[in-house]
Amino acid sequence: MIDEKELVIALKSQNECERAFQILVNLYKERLYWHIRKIVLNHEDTDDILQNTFIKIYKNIHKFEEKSKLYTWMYRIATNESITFLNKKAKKKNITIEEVKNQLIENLESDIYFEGNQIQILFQKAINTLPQKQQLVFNMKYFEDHTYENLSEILETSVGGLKSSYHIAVKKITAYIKLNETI
Amino acid sequence: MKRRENIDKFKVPTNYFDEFENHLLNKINEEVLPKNIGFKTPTGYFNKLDFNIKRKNNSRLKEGKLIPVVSKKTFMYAASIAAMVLLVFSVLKDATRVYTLEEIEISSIENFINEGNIQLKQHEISILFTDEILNNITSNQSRLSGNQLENYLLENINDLNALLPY
Repeated sequence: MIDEKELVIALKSQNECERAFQILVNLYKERLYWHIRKIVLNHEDTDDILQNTFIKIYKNIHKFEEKSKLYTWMYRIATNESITFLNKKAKKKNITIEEVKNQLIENLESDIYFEGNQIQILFQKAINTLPQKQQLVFNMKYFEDHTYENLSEILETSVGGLKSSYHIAVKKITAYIKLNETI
Repeated sequence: MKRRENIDKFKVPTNYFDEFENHLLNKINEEVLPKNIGFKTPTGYFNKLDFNIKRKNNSRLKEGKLIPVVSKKTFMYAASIAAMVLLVFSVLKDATRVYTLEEIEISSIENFINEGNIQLKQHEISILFTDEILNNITSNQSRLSGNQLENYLLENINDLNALLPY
């Protein structure tokens, strides 16, 4: 088990930063990858955002004031990078962020890195009906199994607010799937 | 009797029973949902990722460094010669000549003020403007809508994380 405080000290030191960064990448690459992938859906964009996230972490580690956990801070950067990416794509195409996500979902069928079936595509469509923040809450709770306390730090929302948000999200998604799977 | 005492000592989290129904409903609803999302990665992707990040990071660091076209030493020689030529010309120049305001470049006036040769107070500057100009400046600022501001930030700021508190 690597102590987070020691890792931060090493990341901020001139001699050890490269080795510490390598440890950091190995520790979090998969978790952050799947977190980003659930937001932007395709592998190529995820890979690009993930690399940018780690580079941003490396360059800005001296600005990290340790008011939150390193893990929380990294998730926040990855989330912001992903949402900024979607916003930029939407602005470029002059459409809404929901429409961008719908296009990405439509592309899933021909995506070589997607092996899901129609139910999984319907599942993605159902998630996309939720407001952006509720999507984050749902994905992070349902797939990544974060505790509400962790989520509260990452998303800067109260535990009570998150619980009700998740509850509403599950209800909306199941209702959408039930309504659309028979059609 | 003793058994009941023990049970009385157990506690449950606040609002546990109020929230129980909701939690149970959520669990039942979740059962219907797929357990995975069907995404996969290219073979060996995570093994190569460390190397790819390192390569991208190094190339960005190299892009950030400016390589001087002229060496510092050459620049110092050239700058010294230019300063000497300028000095000779300014000494030989007719000192009695009076320039009109039109002949002086605005940038020279700006430099003159910036170098602290003239001290202007805020109210002294404001009397140079008419009320109409001042109103235009103020109303132009108030015309910035939330959308325009958002567009500006999205287009011009690459790192939105920089706006967040750490």
